[in-house]
Amino acid sequence: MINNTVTNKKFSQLPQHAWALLVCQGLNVSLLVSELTSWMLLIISVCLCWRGLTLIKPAIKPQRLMILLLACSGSIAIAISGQELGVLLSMLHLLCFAYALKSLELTTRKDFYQIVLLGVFILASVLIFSQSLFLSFFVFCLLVLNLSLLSAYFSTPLPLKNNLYQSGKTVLQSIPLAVVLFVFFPRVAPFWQVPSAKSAQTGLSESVTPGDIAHLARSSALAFRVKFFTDIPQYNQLYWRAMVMDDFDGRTWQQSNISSVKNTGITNTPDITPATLIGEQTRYQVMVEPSYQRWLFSLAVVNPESLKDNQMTIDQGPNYTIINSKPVSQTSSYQISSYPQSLLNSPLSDHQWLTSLRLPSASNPKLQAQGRQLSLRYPDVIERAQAILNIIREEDFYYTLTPPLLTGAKSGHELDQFFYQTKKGFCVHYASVFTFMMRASGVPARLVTGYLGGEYNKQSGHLSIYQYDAHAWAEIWIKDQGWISVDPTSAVNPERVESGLSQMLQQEALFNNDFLNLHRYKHLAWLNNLRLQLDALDYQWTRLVLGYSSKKQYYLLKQWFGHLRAWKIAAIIGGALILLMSVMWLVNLKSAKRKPQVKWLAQYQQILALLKAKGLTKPDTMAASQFSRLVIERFPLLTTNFIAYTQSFEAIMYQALTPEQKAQCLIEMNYYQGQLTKQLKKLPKKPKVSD
Amino acid sequence: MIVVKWLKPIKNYGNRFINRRFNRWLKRRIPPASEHKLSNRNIFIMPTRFGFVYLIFVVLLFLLATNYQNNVIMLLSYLMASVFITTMMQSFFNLSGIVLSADKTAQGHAKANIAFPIKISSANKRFAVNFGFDDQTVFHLAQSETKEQTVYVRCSYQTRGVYTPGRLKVSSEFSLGLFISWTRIDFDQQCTVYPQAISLSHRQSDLSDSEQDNLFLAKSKPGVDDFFELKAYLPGEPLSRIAWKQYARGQGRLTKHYHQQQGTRCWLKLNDMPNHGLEKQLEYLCFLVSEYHRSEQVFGLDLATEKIQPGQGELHCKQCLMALAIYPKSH
Repeated sequence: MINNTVTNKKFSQLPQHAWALLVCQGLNVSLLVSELTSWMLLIISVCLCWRGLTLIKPAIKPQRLMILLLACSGSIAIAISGQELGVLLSMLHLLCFAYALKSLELTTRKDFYQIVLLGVFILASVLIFSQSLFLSFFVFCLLVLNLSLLSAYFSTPLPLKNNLYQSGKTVLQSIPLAVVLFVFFPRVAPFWQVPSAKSAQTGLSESVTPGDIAHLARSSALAFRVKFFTDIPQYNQLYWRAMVMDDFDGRTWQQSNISSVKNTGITNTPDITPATLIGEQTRYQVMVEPSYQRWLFSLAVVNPESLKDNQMTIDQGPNYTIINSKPVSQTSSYQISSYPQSLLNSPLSDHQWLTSLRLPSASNPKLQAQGRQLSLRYPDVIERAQAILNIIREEDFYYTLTPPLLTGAKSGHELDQFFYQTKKGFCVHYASVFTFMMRASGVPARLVTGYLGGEYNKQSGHLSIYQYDAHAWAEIWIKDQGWISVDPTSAVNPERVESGLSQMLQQEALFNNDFLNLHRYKHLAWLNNLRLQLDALDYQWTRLVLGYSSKKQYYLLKQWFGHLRAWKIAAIIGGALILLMSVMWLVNLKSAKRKPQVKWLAQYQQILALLKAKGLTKPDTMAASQFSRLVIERFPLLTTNFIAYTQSFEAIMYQALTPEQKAQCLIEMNYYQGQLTKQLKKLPKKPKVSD
Repeated sequence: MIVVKWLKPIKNYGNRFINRRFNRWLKRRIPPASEHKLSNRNIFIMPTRFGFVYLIFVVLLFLLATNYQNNVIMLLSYLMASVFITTMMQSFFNLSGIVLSADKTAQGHAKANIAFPIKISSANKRFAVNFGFDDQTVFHLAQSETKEQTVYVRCSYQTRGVYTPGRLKVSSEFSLGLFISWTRIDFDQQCTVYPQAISLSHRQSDLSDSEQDNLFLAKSKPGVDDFFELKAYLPGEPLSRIAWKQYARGQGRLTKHYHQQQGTRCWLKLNDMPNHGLEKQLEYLCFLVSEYHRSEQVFGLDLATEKIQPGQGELHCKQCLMALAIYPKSH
């Protein structure tokens, strides 16, 4: 019991609570380490360390002027670098800076409240950048920690552990209502434009040179997940198209101006006219991880109608691709349908025709010559393509993630060098060479980048496509059939196309990756299982929580409750609220009734219960000594033991004893308890006639 | 400024009006009793200022989530909103079920702390409960015990008299400080405030040097009496009189009795006090009554309008002090 008067203004904290607050602050900020600039991190750590020092030695508390100076200089620094950082990151810097600085000025209760709320706000802002299950869970745990600091202030005598338990309980009790609100509370459209998270683009880039995609193969980061609503196509049919590159400058493949989304309105490009959709429909939902790019992934050929029914605004891109209206900056999902048997045969414009045939005249002369040669030998386009694949298959080409550096790059002869000298390359090498030769032989051809395949997760039935599934292949134009995709990689490494990177290649790919990466241990069955289980969990999180939209809410509510009315939603939320409150009420009622019982009383009641079984009940009002007389009368066998037992019970119950005496009494009581229990059990089962 | 000045009486009047109405309502809602069990009948609950700020913060999070169309932040904001509700319940449970009882009266001197013992019993632990009378010091109980315990709520008054401390406010912001649950219970208590005890001997130089004064000063000095006899201890006798030496030797509890100065029954008279105003005189008397009581002498009190016959013991002393407390004030 602490007797001190509480005033609202003053704030004092136990040292261990102050340290806990400091640690909690550090943890909150640490989640933003990758977003904050190094100088900001330095300032923050200085502030927090200083706070730590003042806890050790209160004398070195910074003066107000000092804090003011620090605040001003920090704000100026943020303002100066604001241009470079962008609005969102500047705000974030300011938030974290204020949060760290506030710890130096913790004098009133208001300051303390502010610091806790700022901490929670920082946790919320962490979620702008990533919403993965594991991060969300971590944020949730930190929320409990933050709230436990608040709770610690109001139940100071409890150890911190109990406060953590207390606030954990509070948060857990709140989860059901939060879930109900999440499911039922009306979702509204964004009120105003907010600065979006800008980060380095990840995944495929908008231009490709040979050797580019090999570095992606080293990353085991998730690119996207797919849930099929119809049958899952074969692995070698899962060519996820992202971008089509039809402009080649002798070294780099990129999108031609006409099809580049940056420069033109897409709607007028000729080849966007929808292909005639034939064959069976494949319906699927794609959940993309933030790539900070606009390209989305699809199987050819997408039904343009299916794009409209999504929360994201997705447009048709050039060359049968699909693109988002803005860079994907958070995990989002879309549901589309494709017709894999349809042809990509909308007629080519003159410009497209020319672009798809264009070769820089001076580049790779040997390949150009061979291409021309092939065109003479194989007049049929398909045979010609087959011939090139045969060359790749039969000569000793290697498929490797670490191709030798092509030194001919300057002169624009690097493909020549690869094809005739080094013969070691990754998918882009083979796709480039193939496309180049087809063009040289007079066939419109282009490079397509995207992902191939995906890992099937049995537990949840979804496909996970990782960055190491990145791939490049070619498309050639065949009269009447349109664009036909050809994967030259299949000629050199059929396994890649049939089932993904081989074990050896994966080991090679992930060799440089961090040790803790679970993808490294695919050969260990139980670890791989664990990884797949975690993946399934994360998938469900992505599907159910991240993928929940106003549209889904609409359908769900309609399915459950028929026509949607405002009063119905209000009734559901109100009902949940009342339910929560009444459950808590009942639980509290129960715990209030459960009176703490002293040990000896419980022991005495055990004996009473035994006596009751033998047919002797103690009236509530009767004193223990009186009752002992009754017992002796009925069971003379018990006399000595029961009298001694009653005496020690009464002594411990009603007399003021010293701790030693009490302990002595307890020992005696325990002894007679044992004796009596034995004797009572031996007594005849059949109760005597009660009076 | 002028407007504010002009508005002030109106505001005061308004406040008084509301308070009066509220108190009248409270009287019907929570009638005076010697024991109160806190329940939904008498606990009030309100968000604190921080609670309102917290709500605004939750709305802010919701806006952030909506604008970013970020479901996890939205979940976080809903979770924080639910925590608000849960905390409300916890705040209520923290007070609900406490049984409070108190004595009807308390006594003490003016300008000193007078403690009202309040017995509280509760099956569960309660946290951060504040007890206090209006305009008085608040007692903060950081954590209650799971058995009956007594807290001492302090009052202090500047002048002597009989006061009613009014309703006891029991409040707690437990759990997260978002809500304050409180109640104002009425034990119908009375507080008798004796005059402040001011020692005469310290002010000897101030005193008139009449012989009579010196005489009773000598009499009032404790410890001048001779030890007379030991008697068996009777319950209720002051502990200070127990003969501890004998007790330690195992001779049982005995009390020391002193030889009284027989024949000279002492009268403490108001008119005998140095003339420093009525209140001062009463304060001197108060000191003397206490001293005489402590040294266990027989004395009577003569307040001119009222006389208390010479006597001894706790009850007598209380009676005398009471008379001093309620002595009519001079005009």
